[in-house]
Amino acid sequence: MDVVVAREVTTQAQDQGADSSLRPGGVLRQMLLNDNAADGLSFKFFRSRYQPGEKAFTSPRHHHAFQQLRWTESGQINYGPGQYINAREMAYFPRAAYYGPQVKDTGVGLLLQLGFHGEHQYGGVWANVRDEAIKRLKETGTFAEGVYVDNDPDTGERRERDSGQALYEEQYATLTGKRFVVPQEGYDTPILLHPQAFEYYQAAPGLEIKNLGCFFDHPGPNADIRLSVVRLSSGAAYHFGLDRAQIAWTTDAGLRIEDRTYPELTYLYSPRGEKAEISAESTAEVFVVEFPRLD
Amino acid sequence: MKIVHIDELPVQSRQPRGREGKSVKTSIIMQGDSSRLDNFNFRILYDEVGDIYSPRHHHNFCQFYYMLEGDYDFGQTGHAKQGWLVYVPEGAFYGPQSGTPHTRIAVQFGGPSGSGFLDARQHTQAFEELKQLGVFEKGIFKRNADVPGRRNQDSYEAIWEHVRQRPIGYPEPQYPNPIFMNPAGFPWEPVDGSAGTDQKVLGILSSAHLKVASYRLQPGATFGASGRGMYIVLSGTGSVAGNAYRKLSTVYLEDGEEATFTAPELTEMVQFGLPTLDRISTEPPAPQVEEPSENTYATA
Repeated sequence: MDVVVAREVTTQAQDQGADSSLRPGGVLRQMLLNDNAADGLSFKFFRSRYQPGEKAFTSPRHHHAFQQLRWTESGQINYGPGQYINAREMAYFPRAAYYGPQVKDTGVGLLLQLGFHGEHQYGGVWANVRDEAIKRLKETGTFAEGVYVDNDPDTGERRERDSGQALYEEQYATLTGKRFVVPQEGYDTPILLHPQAFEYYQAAPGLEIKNLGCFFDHPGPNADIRLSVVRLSSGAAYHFGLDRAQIAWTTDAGLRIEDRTYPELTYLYSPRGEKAEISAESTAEVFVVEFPRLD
Repeated sequence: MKIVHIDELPVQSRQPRGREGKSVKTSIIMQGDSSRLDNFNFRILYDEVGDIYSPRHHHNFCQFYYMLEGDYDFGQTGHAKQGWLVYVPEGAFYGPQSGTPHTRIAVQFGGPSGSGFLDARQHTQAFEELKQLGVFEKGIFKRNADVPGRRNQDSYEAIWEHVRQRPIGYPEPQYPNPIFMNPAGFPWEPVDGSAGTDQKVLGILSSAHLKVASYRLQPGATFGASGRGMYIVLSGTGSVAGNAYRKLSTVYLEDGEEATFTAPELTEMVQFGLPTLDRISTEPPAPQVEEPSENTYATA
């Protein structure tokens, strides 16, 4: 199990990082956890503090081939005109569902992006072709305000694409020689969730659970992403099973993992094939995401 | 288990009961037990002209829609297209709704908050009684000047309070917007232990674990259905638990019941899961002191 604590993770300003040419904004980011797992799962999980004015993060209306989960730690975070995720609420962004244009200029939140077999491209083999792909894109077009503009090689007509999408297409083509395709969306829009509107049920003494929903963007009996909230009282334990990779986080101090007590804002990743157990010194509310499995 | 064939049902001009859309016709497919918190109303609506209109509003019950033909606009909360399924959570604001000509199947049911669901008889009787106390216009009940109570009120709220004789309470929505599901965007997968049957699980929604799914049975396949909910046959003929099914046959399974579909020809159907009583709160939401801020839930 990988465990990180917010206060121990380096913060990087977006406009000083590798994304600066793709997305406008000066978001202060902490990369919490990421992996490219043997079963094809790729994810990254990061914490962002959004900045007002010229440092706001903006993007045009767009979609992705990967899935996302967003959770707001404080403030409210925009994801489209009139659309906000309030503190301690979350939104599931289904694969291929369009959203935005968004202006993220306030609040602190978590963002989890995940996909399989090139749907999500981060680190690993994708890092090897990233610079080359950006260089090639800049040779044939320009990045501006989150939009990549070039001319269609077949028609010569000017075309605009979301800059992140353009990079994904280029990286995928570079690595596989194939055209990157975003599938047809199953869910039409992001799904906003109010965890506070769900009631806990007691799963065991001192262990309460809210099941928030299961969303199926892939086929298969284990291909759903499962969202839940766990409340631990002193003396109780919650077990992360072998069968799925899981991400979890809490804002409460006192989470105990392998004989260590963790402070507030602790995040953990339990890879598939590993077992783990958490408990709490007093009471801790833990948000849990069970990743899909395609087999 | 109950089975009803929609093509055998009488089609009635729907009493408007507070909403616009006088040309809408309907058939009641099944109804639940109004004494139970899991009561439901299952019907098909034919809006042949496309004049239905509802203002932006919310309910204290849940709904599923399946769009058989045509589209149905949910205003700033979305747009349902032919073949799509829609889940409208209890408490979630949606609309204003307006129709182009369309046909939809609708299930309205008491959700996890324990608010229950009024049946059509209760609804109609209250509507007639309230007409003595005011007028219904575009989804709003306007009380006569000499009648105590709010001057203008959502027509359903007025009817609900008239039946229950207490102020209505709304649960905070677990999902604050309707969820629109397009089965064409989900891939088929085989159903374990049921050769020749494929499924698309579209979601397991809310704390009540409402399963939404599509099924496809190849000729010769059998499929064991279980779990409280509705199965609607979209195409094909065959048998289920000794009864013949055909296009728009609908099967209701109570909690703990099972039924086996046998398909001599290609069959497609959809499933709307309904809550079981153990997943429904026995403490319904208290009346709100203040009006909830619907703008918080806008989806543009």
